[in-house]
Amino acid sequence: MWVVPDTKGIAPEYEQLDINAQLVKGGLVPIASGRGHDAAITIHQKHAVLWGGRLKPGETAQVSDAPKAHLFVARGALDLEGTGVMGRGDAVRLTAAGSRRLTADGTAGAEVLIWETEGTIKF
Amino acid sequence: MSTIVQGHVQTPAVDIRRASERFHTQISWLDSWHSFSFSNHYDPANTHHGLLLVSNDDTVLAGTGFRTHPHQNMEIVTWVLDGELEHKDSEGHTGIIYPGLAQRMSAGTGIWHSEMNPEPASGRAFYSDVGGSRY
Repeated sequence: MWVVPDTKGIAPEYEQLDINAQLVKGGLVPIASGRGHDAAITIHQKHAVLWGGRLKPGETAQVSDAPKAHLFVARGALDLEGTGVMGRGDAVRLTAAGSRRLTADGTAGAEVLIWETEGTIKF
Repeated sequence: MSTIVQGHVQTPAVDIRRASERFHTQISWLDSWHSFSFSNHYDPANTHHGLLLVSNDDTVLAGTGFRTHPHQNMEIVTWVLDGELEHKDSEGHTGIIYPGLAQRMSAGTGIWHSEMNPEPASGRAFYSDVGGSRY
C-alpha cells in the first residue's frame, strides 16, 4: 500500500513491528499511523491511519467517520452498515460517509484493512 | 508531479468496488490485483482514494519476489496474510515480514529494496508493494 508523504525529500527509513498481541484482543487496531498512535508503525503522513482487524465470527466493530476511508476485506466476509455483504477482495471507498458498524461473517469471520485519510491528491 | 490538497468540503459517497473489478496482473511468479491504476493498468478516473495511491493484493510464488528496485517520496506499508517476505534495502535494513508484523518503508530521497518470498510455498503478501515500472 502506498500513501503519499506529507513531506518530500526526507531521509529513507525502515520500520517493522509485530502487533499480533494487539490483534488477538479483537476489534480494530492501528497498524500504521501518522497521528502518533501507540503500538503502530509510524508513517510520514499526519493525515493517514491504517486500521486492521482480525474479527471473529459475528464480531462487530465501528468504522470511524473520516473524510476518506478505504475499507478492504482481506479475508472472510463482513456486512458493512448501509452497503451490505462484502467478500474477500471487495472494497468500499467512503467519503464523509459517517461512522458505520461492520459485522464479521458468522462462520468465516473477517480480516479487514481500513485506510483513513484526509485530503486528496491532485496530479 | 502530485500535490496534496486539504480543506475541501466532501460530498458524502459510498463507492463499492468488487474484487473482480480490480486490475489484474498475472505473470510467472506473481498474481497481483490492483485497487487503483498501477503499472501498465491506467484509468484516469481510478488513480487514488484520499491519500491512498496504491493498494495491491499480491500472491508471490515460492522462492521468487520483487527483486531490487527503487522508490522516491512514498510511504509504503506491507501487510502479509500468509507466508513470509524477506526484506532487504540499500540502507542496510533486513527483516522477515510475516502475518501480524507491519512493515513501513519511507522512500524519501530514494531507496532500493527487494521483497522476496523465501518459503517453499506460495505466500499471499497482502497489499505488498511492487516496483512501478517492472512490466
